[in-house]
Amino acid sequence: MDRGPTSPDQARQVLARYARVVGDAGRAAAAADPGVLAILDQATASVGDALDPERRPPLLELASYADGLTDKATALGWNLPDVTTLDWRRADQITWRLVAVCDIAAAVLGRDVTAG
Amino acid sequence: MDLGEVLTDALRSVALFLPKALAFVAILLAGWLVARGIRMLADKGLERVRFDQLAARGGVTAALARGGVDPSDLVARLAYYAVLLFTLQLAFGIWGPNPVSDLINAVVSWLPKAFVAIVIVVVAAAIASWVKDLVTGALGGLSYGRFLATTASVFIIGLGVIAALNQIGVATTVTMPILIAVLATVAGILIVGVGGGLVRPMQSRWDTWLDRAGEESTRVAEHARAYAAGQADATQVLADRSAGTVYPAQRTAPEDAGLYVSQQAAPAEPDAYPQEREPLVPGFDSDQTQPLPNDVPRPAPRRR
Repeated sequence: MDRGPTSPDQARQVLARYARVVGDAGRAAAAADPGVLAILDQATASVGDALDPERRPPLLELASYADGLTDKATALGWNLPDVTTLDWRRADQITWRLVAVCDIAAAVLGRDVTAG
Repeated sequence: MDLGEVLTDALRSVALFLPKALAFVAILLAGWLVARGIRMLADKGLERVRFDQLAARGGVTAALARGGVDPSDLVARLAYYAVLLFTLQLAFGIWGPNPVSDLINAVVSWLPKAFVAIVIVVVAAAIASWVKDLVTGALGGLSYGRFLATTASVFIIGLGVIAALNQIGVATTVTMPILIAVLATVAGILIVGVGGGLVRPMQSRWDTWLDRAGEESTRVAEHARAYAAGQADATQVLADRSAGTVYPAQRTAPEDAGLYVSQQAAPAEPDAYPQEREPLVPGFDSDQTQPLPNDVPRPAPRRR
């Protein structure tokens, strides 16, 4: 296993990549639809529980979590959906958790991760 | 031998001795007068060439003041005693070879060396003083400037003293070890002072390095934990899905295809990820009403 992102800058880059691929679209969909927003909230809570529920996870942990999630899921046969045509109400939990990671990261940064 | 002969002998002895004694006293008297004159001349002459001021720069005056003499006085007195010695040498020469003459000869031959030695000390002290002024002027702004200046002046005075000792014939077997000891002491002070001064900066640098290493290892551990958490979540979610909760799989290739390398290695078995499923209940649009996995924890929705 690699050492993972060891600097906040690297973590920010990793998270910005996830945001570009899936996060921004998912968060936009959630903002547009309260039903989708509920799904995102549940995914966010799941991610928070999976990491340390006591605190807001730092960017490094978020990036590592997202990497572990996608690596394992991909190994098990999961594929990243095409977010341009995705119906977010039907999106799978892996995708939602990635969106949730991006959402938490955006909250941590206080702004859009792609901006950083 | 008759009495007259004896008397004649005695008288001859006295006649031989008296001129010698008279000459001896006369030479001593003349020599003493000349010595006094030379002493006065030397004192005046040296004061005229500002020998005192020159010596004062080096701090020799301060050292001599305790003895109640000033440098020009000292040199003049030396000249005085030198002339007296010459006089004594001359006077005792009258008696022919004798131990007192030998002693006086030795002392007289040693005198120039003593004079040169004194000059060396005075000059060395003056040079040391100049160097001290120079170093203080150049490095006075630095906290260790005064220390450096004092060290340099002491070092030069030490060299001058050793040279003077060599000059007056104090055995080099004594002075050279002293010189070496002084140099070794200076080296030791430099090593401990300069090297020891670097102990603290080096310590703080080590602290920084170790802190960084510790931080890095903490990050690696956090990464490992979060990565494992992600893997566990993925396993759980996908296990839930294959256990019965249906998610329509999105088989279209993502835009950012390069992001996931193992994508090509995705299993092709249709069982694992059903692409399409018949609705379980006819007419029920499973696409729009999607249940969440049963055992996914459902915390309260986050407030925005």
